[in-house]
Amino acid sequence: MVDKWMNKLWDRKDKILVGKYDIKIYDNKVHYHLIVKRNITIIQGNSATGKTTLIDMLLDYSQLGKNSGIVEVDENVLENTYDYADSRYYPSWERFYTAYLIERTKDTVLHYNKARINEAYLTEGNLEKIRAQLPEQIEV
Amino acid sequence: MLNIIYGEVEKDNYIFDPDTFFNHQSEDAWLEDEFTKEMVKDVDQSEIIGPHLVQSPFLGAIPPEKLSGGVKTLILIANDNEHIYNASACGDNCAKWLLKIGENKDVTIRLGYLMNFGKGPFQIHVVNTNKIVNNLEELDDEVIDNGLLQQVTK
Repeated sequence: MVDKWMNKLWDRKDKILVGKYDIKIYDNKVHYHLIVKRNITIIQGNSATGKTTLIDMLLDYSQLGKNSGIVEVDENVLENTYDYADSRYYPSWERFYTAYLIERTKDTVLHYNKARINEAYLTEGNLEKIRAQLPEQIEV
Repeated sequence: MLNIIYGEVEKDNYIFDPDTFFNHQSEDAWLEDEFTKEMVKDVDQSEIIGPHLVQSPFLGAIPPEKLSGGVKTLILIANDNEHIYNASACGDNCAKWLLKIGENKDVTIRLGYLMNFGKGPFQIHVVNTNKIVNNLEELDDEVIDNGLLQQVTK
């Protein structure tokens, strides 16, 4: 059985993810943030921790794209912002990111509002990311 | 007693994918059973409202088909004596329930990995070698020393 699976994987090796990817997938109920480092990823863990839900979401997204209601975060926007932030509409990149975030999170659990931060963002993990970006002189 | 076949199983009554099998073969009475409700509460942290409705703290109101693969397998093992189920669909948090089911009846399951059954003591019959082990160390030694995960049982 394992040999058969490995052979199938080998046949598809050109399509298998390689390198390191920062992947965020969410709908209006669940939110996954994964960093995949290897060319083959094994998802394991206790029952009822969301493994099947994640796979189902990936299948739905691969079949229907945005019509599935599942949101993907495009890393290309972060790396090549100048290709997206049209200065005719956005006087600054900050305005662009704000508009982008509001649009991409509309009708999801992570819906963004600049006036009042959504509590879904107030996690220890996000605080840690902010801490890591701060200069050494600033202590939180 | 809990009987475990390690490795691959090639038998007519073996169910490799209990998750899908549950979706098509589960019975309403199974979901109304108190033991089932306890397992679902513990493993999925969810409450069975009725045979067609479960309240999940993460997903909201869901049908039983959206329960975890692990708890579906436990429900099948607890209620259906005709099949051998692939308990590799269960995570370690299902181990105590497999032992509890084994306390109430003779049941045979298949495992393809070293599930953590806790420190014990417990009694598990390893079908491949026809040996009864009494704790996790004995169980793991039995499986590893005899290369049971690579065996095929017909």
